[in-house]
Amino acid sequence: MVQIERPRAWSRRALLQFGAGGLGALLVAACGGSPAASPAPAKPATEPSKPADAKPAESKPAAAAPAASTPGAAQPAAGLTTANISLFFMGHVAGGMNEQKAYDDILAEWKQKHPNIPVEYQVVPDAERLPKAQAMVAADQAPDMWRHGSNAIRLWGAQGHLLDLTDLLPANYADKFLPGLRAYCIYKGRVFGLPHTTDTSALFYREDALEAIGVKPPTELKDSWTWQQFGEINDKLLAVKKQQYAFTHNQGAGRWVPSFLYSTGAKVVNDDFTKMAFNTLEAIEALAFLKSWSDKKWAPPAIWTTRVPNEDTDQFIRGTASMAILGQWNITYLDENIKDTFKWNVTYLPKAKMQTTSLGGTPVVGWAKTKHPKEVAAFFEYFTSIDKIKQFDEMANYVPVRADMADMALKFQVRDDLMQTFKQQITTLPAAFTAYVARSYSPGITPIITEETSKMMLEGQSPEQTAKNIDDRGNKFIQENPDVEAR
Amino acid sequence: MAAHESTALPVAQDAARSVDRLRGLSTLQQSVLHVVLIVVALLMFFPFFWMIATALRPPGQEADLSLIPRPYLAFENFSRAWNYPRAPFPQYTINSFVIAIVSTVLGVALNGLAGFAFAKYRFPGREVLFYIVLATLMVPFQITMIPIYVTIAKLGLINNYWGVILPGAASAFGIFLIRQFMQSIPDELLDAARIDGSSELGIFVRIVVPLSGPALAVLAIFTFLARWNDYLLPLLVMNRQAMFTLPIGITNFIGEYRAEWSLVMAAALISIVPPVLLFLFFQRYFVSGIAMTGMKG
Amino acid sequence: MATQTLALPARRRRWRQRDVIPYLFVLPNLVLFAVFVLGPVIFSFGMSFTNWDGLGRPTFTGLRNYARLLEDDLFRTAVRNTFLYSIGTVLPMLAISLGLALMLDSRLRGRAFYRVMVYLPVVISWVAGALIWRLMFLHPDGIINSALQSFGLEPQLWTSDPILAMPAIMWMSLWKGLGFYTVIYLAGLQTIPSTIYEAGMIDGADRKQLFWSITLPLLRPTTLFALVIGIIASFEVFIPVYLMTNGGPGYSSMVMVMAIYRAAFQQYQMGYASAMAVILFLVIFVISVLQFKFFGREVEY
Repeated sequence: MVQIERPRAWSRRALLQFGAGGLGALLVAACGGSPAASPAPAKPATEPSKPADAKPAESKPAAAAPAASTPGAAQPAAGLTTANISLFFMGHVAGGMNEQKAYDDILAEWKQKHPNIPVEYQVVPDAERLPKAQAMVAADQAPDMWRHGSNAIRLWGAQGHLLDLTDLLPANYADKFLPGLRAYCIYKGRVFGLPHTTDTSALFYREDALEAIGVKPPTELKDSWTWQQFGEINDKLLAVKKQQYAFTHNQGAGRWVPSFLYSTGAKVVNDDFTKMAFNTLEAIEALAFLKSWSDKKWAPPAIWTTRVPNEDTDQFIRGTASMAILGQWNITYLDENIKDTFKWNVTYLPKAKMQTTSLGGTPVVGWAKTKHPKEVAAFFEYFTSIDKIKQFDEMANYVPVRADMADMALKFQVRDDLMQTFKQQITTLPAAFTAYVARSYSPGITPIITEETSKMMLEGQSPEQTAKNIDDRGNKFIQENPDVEAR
Repeated sequence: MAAHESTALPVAQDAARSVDRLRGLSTLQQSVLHVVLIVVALLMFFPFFWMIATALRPPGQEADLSLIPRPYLAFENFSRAWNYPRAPFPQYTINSFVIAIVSTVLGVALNGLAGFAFAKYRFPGREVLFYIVLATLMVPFQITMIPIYVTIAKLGLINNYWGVILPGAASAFGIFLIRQFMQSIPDELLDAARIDGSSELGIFVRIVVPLSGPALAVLAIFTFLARWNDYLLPLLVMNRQAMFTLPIGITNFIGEYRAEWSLVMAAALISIVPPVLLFLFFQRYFVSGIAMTGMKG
Repeated sequence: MATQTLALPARRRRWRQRDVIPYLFVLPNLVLFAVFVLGPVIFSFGMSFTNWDGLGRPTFTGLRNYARLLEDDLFRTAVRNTFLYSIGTVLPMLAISLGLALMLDSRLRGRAFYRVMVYLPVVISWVAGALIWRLMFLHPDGIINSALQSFGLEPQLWTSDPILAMPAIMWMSLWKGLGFYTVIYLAGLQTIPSTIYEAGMIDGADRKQLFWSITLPLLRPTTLFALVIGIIASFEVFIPVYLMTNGGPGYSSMVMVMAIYRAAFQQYQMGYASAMAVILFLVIFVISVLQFKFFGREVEY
């Protein structure tokens, strides 16, 4: 027979305390587990392997809103519900506090106009917002509206997950937006999203650096430097040795390499979008020029592989680089962190055969299965109206996405003088480029371009090999994942 | 090893006679150990030093890389992060606590029992079941997250604490850990209790648990830590910011176009306090020198 | 008498509580696994035979994804890197952790402080840790490069360098994981009764012999655990790669889960990514089974 002494550790008391603490937490969990705010979860009948109908939701809005499709008299407000509902709008943090305040203000104003249809805006972290939306859609739990990605609208729309806005909005509403941006919202003639913000890049510079080499930046779009001239300026800057690098640029090179390419007349895909067209002499020339950025030590090499915010701008702020190819979205950050350390300004990007700027931006989309399609459309119309875009852009430093605002004078909150340059820059989107971005396979090509170009910049791969690899890998990809319109 | 050792209690240390690993080492050799540990501690801590430096960087100096923040140490960043408008950090903290505490209690209970079963019972299918359990660790969450989310949605657990607690409650890691440690409990002890008339559950609670202090303590702190720092699952399951947990709140400071690193690091530093406190509390159970008397006779 | 019997009516066989209870003990876990893990895993594996984009209706494509994987240089690189990463981190980490555990289990002064220091990196989230290391590795003026320069050495690209990117990630992981395995070994050391050491010392064993013939063998269950868990975790490394290098430059620091994520969520190739996950699973499974065969003998006390 053995005696077992009660050990000190894990005594009954300790166990009880542990259990009591757990029980207390359990009670809190039970009470707080389903807060009133959560919508009743839809009991989806679909299995994950058979997600929402593949056909676009064309029939639904037509049946639900016969009044709205009458041209001319389009007053969607008249058809809105009088019941108390709430629209769930999922967004993310993009810019700084100004942008968040802009959202708050606009949503508050909407609530005043439509007190029974408040918009609940919830913010999720940027990096995982699209995978989260994807999961929510798969489980029939998607928000009524969310901020999507410009290169993913057509794919999601083709798979039937996005609200078809065509008949819910006034006729030809999409035509009001810049053609380059409109293109990525339209699939087979139907509108599945609306542009709301767009990204535009330009050339930032330190005034003292350009003064030191006696160069005056162009003041008109037509006078913008050629890439040749840009290269010469870089060499001069390096010779003066004031900053270690001549210029830095936005991170995530794969995203904006295509725009650079199109500005030289090269292309990523051929004209019917079925095959890659990267491996051309023009493209190789463009790549060779990019490679010189690294070979001639004009730009810091590390930026090519970074995707973490602030690293691109910080090189400019710290005085590691004399100039920077950055975006208008960087202005508030630069303004707050440079302050009076040095004077900086913005000029037009260098041009090759044509001017381009990077294409991006965040469109807004609705869920195909939302219970309130009319209200979502009405909100979008309000949200993208001239007044609201003006209000938003002035507060948050964005360039208007509407074509009918091209001549409008906006008073931007931060560095109004610089924003005018961006307004002009955005008019330079070649149609072929935007059409490429609109292809549903373009998200898959982007990593390929990033990987091969970074091999070129950082591992010494030749431009010829880079172009060939991009073509080969891209073609394999397109073969497995053709554009939705070609399926 | 001589045969007589098999009767010695394998799972607890005698208070008065814990192993003296320093025995026979000269002062010089002990000093060398100290130096090694100091170097290791410095290497472990240095990135924290950088974290603190980043957290104390004043607004307007976000691009500065100097070791000591200039022009002043911005302690207000901690309250800025905590009181950030539209980001209710106190609520995030409560959510994290509820999820972590319930998960830990549930996890220790469930995985402790299961680990015990795998360690001390022979039953048909034991090996197969154990491999199946282990296999659940071998598929990365990134690929299963969408079907898991759909499952959670079908169970009506979206935006609910249980939607985060239940999927992670059963842990192959925990079962495996407990199994390994409980293997060393002598069968004689259990058989004796059975002869005495104890039920199996009674054996677990009255004999096995007290003897498994180290393993259960380690399981508790690691389970808490994993749920406390869990990012992807709560992000998927929770729809409303009021239900977000601390990691999500911290990552929200990393915007698409700019990141507020000082707030990220300040919030992250605040967030490491509870797991560290828990470690300090539980470490007595797996370090020798603490009295855990065992079998006599 | 508390022993319960379940007498079957047809045969007069006595079932002891002891036969049924293990199934009951593992039942809750199995149910949870079945619902939340196994179901989704089977679904994902099934998707590997389709071209599902994660959004629409999947189309059955048979073994096409697997054929593509064979020719995929990026995937091959990912597999190679993952193996290198695993060997390069797990073995040093276990060895160093064991050494630290031995030191911290002694009566050394200040050991509580050292214990906390060693454990601190474990407590921080992977995201915060990876971001801090990324900031430290910045080129040209991150703190590590500044330190190099003050010693007269060239600043390195680190996370943008095709050769140094993997080592940078590995150091970060080593820093992060050391405390974890140290705690496990600390707990494992508690399972060795002092009486055995004393018997050994009476037998005239010196420190080295004590370690190799007593400590290490009796730690075998702990080591097996640490090894299996360590290898599984190392094969599934993701956050440091995602945040520090994104698999770059090129795909020189690509690892398998990064490749899976990239295919699934950046390229909308969920079916293809599932095939990668199946391969990953098989690799990990085989390695784990081998480990159990070699090291899994139950320790006799």
